[in-house]
Amino acid sequence: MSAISVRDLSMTYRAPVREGGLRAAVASLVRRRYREIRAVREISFEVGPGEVVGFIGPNGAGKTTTLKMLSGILHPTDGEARVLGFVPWRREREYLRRIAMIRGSQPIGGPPELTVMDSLRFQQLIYEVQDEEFKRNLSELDEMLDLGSLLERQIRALSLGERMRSGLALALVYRPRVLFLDEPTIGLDVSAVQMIRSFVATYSRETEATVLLTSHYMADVETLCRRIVLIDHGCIAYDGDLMGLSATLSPYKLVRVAVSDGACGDWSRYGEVVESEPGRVSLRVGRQDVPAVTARVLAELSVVDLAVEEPPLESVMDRVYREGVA
Amino acid sequence: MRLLRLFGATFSISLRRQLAFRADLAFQALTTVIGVASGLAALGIVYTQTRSLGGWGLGEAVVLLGTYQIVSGVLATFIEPNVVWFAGQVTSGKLDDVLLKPVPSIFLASLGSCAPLGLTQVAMGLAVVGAGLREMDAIPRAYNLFGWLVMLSAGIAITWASRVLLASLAFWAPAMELDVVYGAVWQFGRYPVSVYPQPVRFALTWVLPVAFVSTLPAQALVRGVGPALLLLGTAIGAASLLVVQLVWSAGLRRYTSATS
Ligand SMILES: Nc1ncnc2c1ncn2[C@@H]1O[C@H](COP(=O)(O)OP(=O)(O)OP(=O)(O)O)[C@@H](O)[C@H]1O
Ligand SMILES: [Mg+2]
Repeated sequence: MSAISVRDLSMTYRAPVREGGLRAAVASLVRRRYREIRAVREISFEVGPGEVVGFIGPNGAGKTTTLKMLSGILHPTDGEARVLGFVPWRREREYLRRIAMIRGSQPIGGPPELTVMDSLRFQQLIYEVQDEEFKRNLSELDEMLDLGSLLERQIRALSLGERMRSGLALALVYRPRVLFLDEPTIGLDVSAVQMIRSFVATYSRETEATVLLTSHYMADVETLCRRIVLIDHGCIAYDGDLMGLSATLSPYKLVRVAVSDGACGDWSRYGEVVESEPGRVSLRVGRQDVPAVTARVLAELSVVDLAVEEPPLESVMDRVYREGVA
Repeated sequence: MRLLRLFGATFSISLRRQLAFRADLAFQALTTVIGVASGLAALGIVYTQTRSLGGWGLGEAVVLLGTYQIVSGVLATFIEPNVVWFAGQVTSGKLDDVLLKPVPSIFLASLGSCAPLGLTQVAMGLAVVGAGLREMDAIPRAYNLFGWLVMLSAGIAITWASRVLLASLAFWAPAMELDVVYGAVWQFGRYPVSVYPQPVRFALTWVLPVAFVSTLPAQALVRGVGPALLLLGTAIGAASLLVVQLVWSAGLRRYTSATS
């Protein structure tokens, strides 16, 4: 059975249209005009138990909206979803106890005057975590997230990174089975990002939790997810292997060549030059031309080193976001 | 049971928070005293002119005022601190956090934080009820006390329900600010509804059930209450809880959160 199963899920927002100017404002008193925003359009996908899936797409693609529906915050306008066998937006207690939604933009809700420890205790009460289990989970979280000095501090006085670490602790102290992570690394420094990444990896491995993760940092996705679901303008554009994505989406490979004599001549005979310095070059070469081009390079030049690489995910995504999936 | 413990926890959190501000404590106590004193003074003035107000003697009217203070105190302590921010929570998407918790959302949203200092008002209300009974020179019979408690509970249920109902209109019209209207209607509860002329009296009993908040409980205490009225009060209290729950669920379906 899948942990998450989504069928033809749609969400259309209705936002009142406000035009500038007094006349328009007065007119809108009489007749409100609405604009329909089809944020998510009939998407379907399945996620198996314990899977860690990257849910990626450009700004405004509908990622957050989808996660909100799956965590029960929003009622969809159409379609079905089951998570752990529950219909999310019925918001049954047993369901909400098993999931967590964590947002990088606002990692902690609740009263900011409380200390992190008080908030943790409050979570314990709300989620009915037994004392022993609470202590055990907390010490594990402490170890991974280095909470020590944070516990006695007020939430309102925490920095963004500290807030994120505390937010993760708050959300995971009751051991949810399914995690919805919405840009968990946004705005964090390099080491904080590393910490969060390895934390998510460890958590999902040890508890076999299912994770649906959105991020605009491809490195997050590359390190954590084997599979990605790509959403664009509210529709699923790709669902599958991360490796397969660039193969499917990008018709090019990167050929890196280093030559001994420094004599390069005209590299553009072989392919489009991406970067070059004396004795070294990176070429963008059409997938099917790769064997022929490498053969020619090897035959015609004194090659020291040659590597064929998939293009970096960032640049693949950039193309996809701008031009769509072919 | 779990909700009670949760309630206890939020209460203690809020109490700690409020006690951190001693100046607030003094100020709150002072406003409460002034509020009660001015209410009593107003009654005193009225009763120098007349011996009965809508059929209520001075002592009875004081009992009513005390009852009104008690319910007002409950409103100020447990309900208002939550609902004042409610429309803002709906438009800013802050309600998301409430919805993620495995606790009935209406409970967290309407009782999740409180202002324990408002309890001074409840204490004052109790004292005023006592003073009223002394003035009447009456020791209430156990049945009357029981009737008062039942009607008071119904009144509190209706108060909570109506206040939350009003707040949840924010799901439909977030910009509407009806708090002031509620406060104004609420003031009618200071006096027995029988002082108001008929159409108003009817409205205050059945449309905006202010009568259930103070007049009917006080009446139960000083004059006793028939089983029919007792049942009716309980039924209306229960019905109001049901209605607000339904409206709340309907409102949540419309909730669209906010971006990000
Ligand atoms: N509460 C709302 N009311 C109206 N429109 C909304 C609301 N929330 C989102 N939208 C619109 O729905 C679309 C999808 O938004 P969503 O937040 O799901 O995108 P996203 O994929 O999370 O983007 P980002 O990467 O920028 O976070 C956008 O066009 C957005 O403007
Ligand atoms: Mg988003």
